[in-house]
Amino acid sequence: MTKQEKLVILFLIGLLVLGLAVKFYKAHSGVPVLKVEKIDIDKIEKETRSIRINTATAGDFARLPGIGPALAGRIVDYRAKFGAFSAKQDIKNVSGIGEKKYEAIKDCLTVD
Amino acid sequence: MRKRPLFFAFLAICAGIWICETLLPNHIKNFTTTGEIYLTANIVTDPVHKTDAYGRAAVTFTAEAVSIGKAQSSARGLVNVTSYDEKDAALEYGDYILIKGNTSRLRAPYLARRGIYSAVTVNKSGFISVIKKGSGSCFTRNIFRFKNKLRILIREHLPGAEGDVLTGVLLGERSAIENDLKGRFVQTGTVHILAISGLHVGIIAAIFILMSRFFYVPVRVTYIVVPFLLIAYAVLTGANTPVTRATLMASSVLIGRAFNRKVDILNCLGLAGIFLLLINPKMLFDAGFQLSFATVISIIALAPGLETVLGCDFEKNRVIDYLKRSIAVSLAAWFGIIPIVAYHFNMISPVCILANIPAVFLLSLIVASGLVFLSVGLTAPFLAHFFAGAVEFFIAALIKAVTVFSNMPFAFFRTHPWNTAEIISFYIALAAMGLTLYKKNIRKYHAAIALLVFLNISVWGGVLRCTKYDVRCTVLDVAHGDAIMLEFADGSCALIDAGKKIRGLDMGERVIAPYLLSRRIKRIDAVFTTHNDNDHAGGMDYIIKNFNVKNKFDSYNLKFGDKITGFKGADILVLNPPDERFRAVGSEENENSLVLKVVSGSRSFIFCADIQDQAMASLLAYPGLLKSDVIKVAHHGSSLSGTGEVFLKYIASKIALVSAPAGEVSEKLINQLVESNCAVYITGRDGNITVELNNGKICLKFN
Repeated sequence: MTKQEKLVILFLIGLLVLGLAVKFYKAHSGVPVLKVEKIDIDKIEKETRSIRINTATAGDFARLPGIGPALAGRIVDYRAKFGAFSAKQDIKNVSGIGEKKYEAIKDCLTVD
Repeated sequence: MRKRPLFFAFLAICAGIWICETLLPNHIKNFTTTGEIYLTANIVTDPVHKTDAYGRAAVTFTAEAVSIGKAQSSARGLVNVTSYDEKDAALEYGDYILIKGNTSRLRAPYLARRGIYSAVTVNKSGFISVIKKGSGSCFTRNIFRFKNKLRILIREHLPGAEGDVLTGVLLGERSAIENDLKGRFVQTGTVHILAISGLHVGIIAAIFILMSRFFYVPVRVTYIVVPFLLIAYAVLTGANTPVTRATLMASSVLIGRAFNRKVDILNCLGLAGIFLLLINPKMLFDAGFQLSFATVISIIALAPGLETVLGCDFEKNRVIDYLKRSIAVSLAAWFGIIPIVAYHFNMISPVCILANIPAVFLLSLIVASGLVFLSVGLTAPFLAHFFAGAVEFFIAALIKAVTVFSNMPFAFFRTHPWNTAEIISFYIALAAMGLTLYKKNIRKYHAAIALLVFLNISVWGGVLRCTKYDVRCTVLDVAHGDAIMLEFADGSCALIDAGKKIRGLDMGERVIAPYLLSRRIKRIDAVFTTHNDNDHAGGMDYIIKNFNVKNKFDSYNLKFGDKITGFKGADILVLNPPDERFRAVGSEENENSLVLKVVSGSRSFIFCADIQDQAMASLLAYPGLLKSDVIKVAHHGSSLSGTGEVFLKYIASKIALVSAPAGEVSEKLINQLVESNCAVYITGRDGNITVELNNGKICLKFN
């Protein structure tokens, strides 16, 4: 065995040991600790559901309870015609949204 | 042209094959992929009778299509036919039949290599009627009739598990053998004993030659007659690759001997290989082909060297000498097939070296006594009973031995399917080590270097795998059922459901475990059993038993409002069942199944398990939470009520995944989804569906 060959063997053994070490480390370090938390889903729902009435599209409005695609289209048309809503309750001016419907959706709307 | 007729003939044949395969559109795979069809076809295999996974009696065979549809337009190509009608049990090879049945697409690569792309199932609404009997080869038909006689004889005298094993060992039909027993043969590396392999052909050739010597038949006559008997045996067993290989090799060796030619065994192997590949080039990628050739090559190359190392030539004691030689052969065979078994079966079984010694010995006894039993049974049935006892004893001993070996510690371990670099470097190392046995101009440390290179490739290949995704979600194709794998950027993972477990088919073992091994996953951080129906929970036992499962969740320890944190880059929200579980007669499990939402950044996936109207209606109160980019559709894509339609609208996904056979999914549902601009993918049609989420971008992959 020449000196070079010895070096090659030693290098390969070293590399192998390093590889095994990294493998072992990876298998034992990355174990996530899972936790089950209780969250306030109603709060999250409100946040995710809030619709910005001045930027929302017809599709966004259509996801609100009691609002179909036709009514959603009318809201967008109204906004295009009369400009941005300054307050939430202004949406009642759109024909088809009465007091009842407004009560159902008002929590999901924000103006900004 | 005149000078090179062979060359131009070759070009013409190439063009012909290409035209047949690509331009002629009447291949059966180009017709309807699902639904009802009419088909006329010739039966080209011996029909196999078996009990299917649900315990129904079935008969299956391969048929070559002749025409398709009520108008009988011409068709070609092979189909696998399964019939549940009792009167179809009388079908045999060579029948020309009219089939009405349901067709479906087959995707298994081993079937594709045999040119089979579709299946036809005949149940109550369909039928098979015989138009004409007796097409096909007369020789083959008579051999199959003879085989049927033998099969009945075996069942008559050996009705238990022993009879099933003997049918497998002698006639090449192992569908009747219990799955658990088959698994033990696989684990101990002795499954080649159940599948007819080259070894059987060798034993049978040896028995024929010994018998003819006993009756003073001239040697040359024996050497010319035995190949014909072997060919008949090969046809009888269905002529799989290893048998064809061994028959060709044995025949060429014997005929060579008959004419006093010097025989070179590697040359005979080459001849057999060329013959097999000429018939079907795709066979090169077949597990049976690879195992058969690798075993023979490595026994020829390594066994003599190992025998010298073990000192076989110096033993006076013949028993010890025999044992040492067996170990040398067994060891040589095992070295040669390690990468192939790892690649196809994700397993390395060191116990195979030991297990094969008694197994092969017992196999010779079983084949010899089995042949005597069958020939006595055909000629003098009243004596057969006594010989059946001997066969039964040997088979019982084989089963016992295999069971003992499979229960040994470190008998076998599972591995990922090896990649090309690992396989090639392993064979280089093996060749180098083999050469040192013969002290050819190679030193031991050269072999050591080759071995170290292989080990480095194997270890670093696992370490350096890059994960270029935040979340990787794979809906596995488990027929009717759910099994979804979630992988995260840090290598942690979770499994939602594990498919069904029915007699002879455990999706956990058959689909999910191989997938996990192919992803090099040994630890599962969480398993979710959405509910206790078999098509969701059935395969979970196998996974929990064979993998390192850290957390187990189900619809009883999780409920609405829970959030599971700890995975890198994603959280899992639980949307169902609610605090107070739904009460529903008949669909209680379904209504209370776990609905999970995986949220990563602004993107989200929702998995709806099997929820129905009640659960969907109560979730409609949370349209914001429901909105998701990808949905795993509820209840295998069954049709929806009005509530379900609103539910889908609220989720408003752009990608819908359905885990079900293609024929089961409601057409109406697919249309609704497509109308709302949602792309629909179905496991039964598209196979495993992978959705990768990377930096907010969604990318789909199929395999």
